[in-house]
Amino acid sequence: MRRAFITLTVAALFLLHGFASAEDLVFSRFESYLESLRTQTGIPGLAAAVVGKSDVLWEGASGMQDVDRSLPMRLDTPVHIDGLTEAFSATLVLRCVEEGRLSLDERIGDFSAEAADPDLTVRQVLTYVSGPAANPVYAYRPDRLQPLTEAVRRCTDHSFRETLANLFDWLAMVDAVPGPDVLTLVPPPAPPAESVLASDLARYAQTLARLSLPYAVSATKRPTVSQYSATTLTPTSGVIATVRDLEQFDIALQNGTLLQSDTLAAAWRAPVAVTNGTTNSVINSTLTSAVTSPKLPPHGMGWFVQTYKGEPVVWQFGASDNGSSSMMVLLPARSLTLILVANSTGLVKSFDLPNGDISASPFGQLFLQMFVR
Amino acid sequence: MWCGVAVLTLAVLAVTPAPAFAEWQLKPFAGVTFGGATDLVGDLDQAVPSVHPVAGANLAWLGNIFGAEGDVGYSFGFFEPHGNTANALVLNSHLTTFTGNVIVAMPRRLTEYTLRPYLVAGGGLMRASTNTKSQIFELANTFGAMDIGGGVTGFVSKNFGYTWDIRYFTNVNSAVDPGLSLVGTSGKLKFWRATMAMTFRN
Repeated sequence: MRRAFITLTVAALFLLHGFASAEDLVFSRFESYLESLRTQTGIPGLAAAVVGKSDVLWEGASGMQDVDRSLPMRLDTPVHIDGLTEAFSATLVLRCVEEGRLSLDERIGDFSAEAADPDLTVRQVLTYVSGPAANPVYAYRPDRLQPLTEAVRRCTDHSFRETLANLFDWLAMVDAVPGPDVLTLVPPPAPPAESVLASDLARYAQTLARLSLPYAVSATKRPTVSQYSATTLTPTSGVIATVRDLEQFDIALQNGTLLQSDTLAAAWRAPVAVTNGTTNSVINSTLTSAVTSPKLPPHGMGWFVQTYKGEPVVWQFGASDNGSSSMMVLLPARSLTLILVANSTGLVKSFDLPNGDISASPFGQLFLQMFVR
Repeated sequence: MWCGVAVLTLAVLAVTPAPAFAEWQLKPFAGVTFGGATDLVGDLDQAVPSVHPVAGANLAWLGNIFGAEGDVGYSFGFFEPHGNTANALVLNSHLTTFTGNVIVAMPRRLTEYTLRPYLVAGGGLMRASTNTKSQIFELANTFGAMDIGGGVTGFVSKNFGYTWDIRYFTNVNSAVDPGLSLVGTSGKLKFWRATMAMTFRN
């Protein structure tokens, strides 16, 4: 009996060791490929992570955050995440919807007299569609999301920036900064204790002092210091964060801390109209299964959505004109997320990602080929 | 299109009646590729710019000034790095070119006892192939190709001599699937080839 127990224990240990080794090998290979792509695209500094449902499975950084001073890129190096800001904005909006303080079918013009397309609904601007519900027309127009700042303000009684700052605090995103201009804003007057901005300004200042340098990379892969594009916070740009911050966001998203599962499921579906108007939740009111339409718009609420080898892929990207790029690619069926931030546009440049195919980027292609087999 | 050029060149070569002074030349060659560049993600170890061995053969029909040739070159390890390859992602690779070219040479009578220079230009096919560690970003692409170059031939006997040749190759239809190029859906691949050949003529 005792011998059998020892044998079983040893066998189990060998099996566990085997699984661990296989996983190590996969991430080791993934790291090698990632480094190859970084070098080929001339990205000066790259930080990356692969996140599971509740913890970080792998993370790594390579290259330089400051080439001239030979400062290595680190997992806690802050960079502009540009378009990834939209994932946070959509989360704030959807939380308001869950709380019954906002409807996805409200006109965007109700929040801003200056809205470019005032008759579009909150849902339509989040999904980048317009036109009749039965035949939505997709156009990647991040500017249309601007009125969402007012929608969030009315819902939370705090400015969009403060609401975002509160979210960062709640998720322990310790290096996240709600906008590059946050230090130039005058903190609201007394009582200071009520102002998130006032209490966090010192921390923001420390983070901004550690901000990675942005680089423009020539055709010969020579990096020269450039400038970040975002000068303020909007619903689709302006957040500064590290890979570690984005890990926290992803885990909170995946484990249901931020949004209910049906809200998330609805956000991660392409918009298609339901003809009979049947509703089963506030979020799902005009959404149906993606398989009912032959040609779906590629954007859910806050996220691009597509399939790869029959598996759903949810993703978002960020890119400045010439100094930063970022990417989150989620495989909901596997509870796996890739997070990448870089201090040049190499992650997304030339790949026409607004068209809705993450596999057009070699970085997206690598993640999908490595983990969707 | 470039494949058509190659076929046409070979067809012309086959049916054209030979002038009295025309000659056939068979040139097995060896040499190196160098100065390469590519947008293909498949160059995972960034080995294309390095020097790689190449071997092949060239069959030419040459009149007094004009001629045509068919050329096959095979470069092994074209996408593999030199030195310590323990961390290399590309396990094995090769690049093969098949081209048909037009030759313009110095008149034979002017170079009877000296080196005979020539220029070549033409087109054909280029085949790139790699195997990688995790079977990701492997290449198995056939592109149209264009080449241009020149060289000199010198004979040490009536039927035997040597040729020194240098050419520039580039792919011309560089379309690849999304995600396999560093610049969208176009994967340029270009390189130089320098060879030395034994030359047999009839």
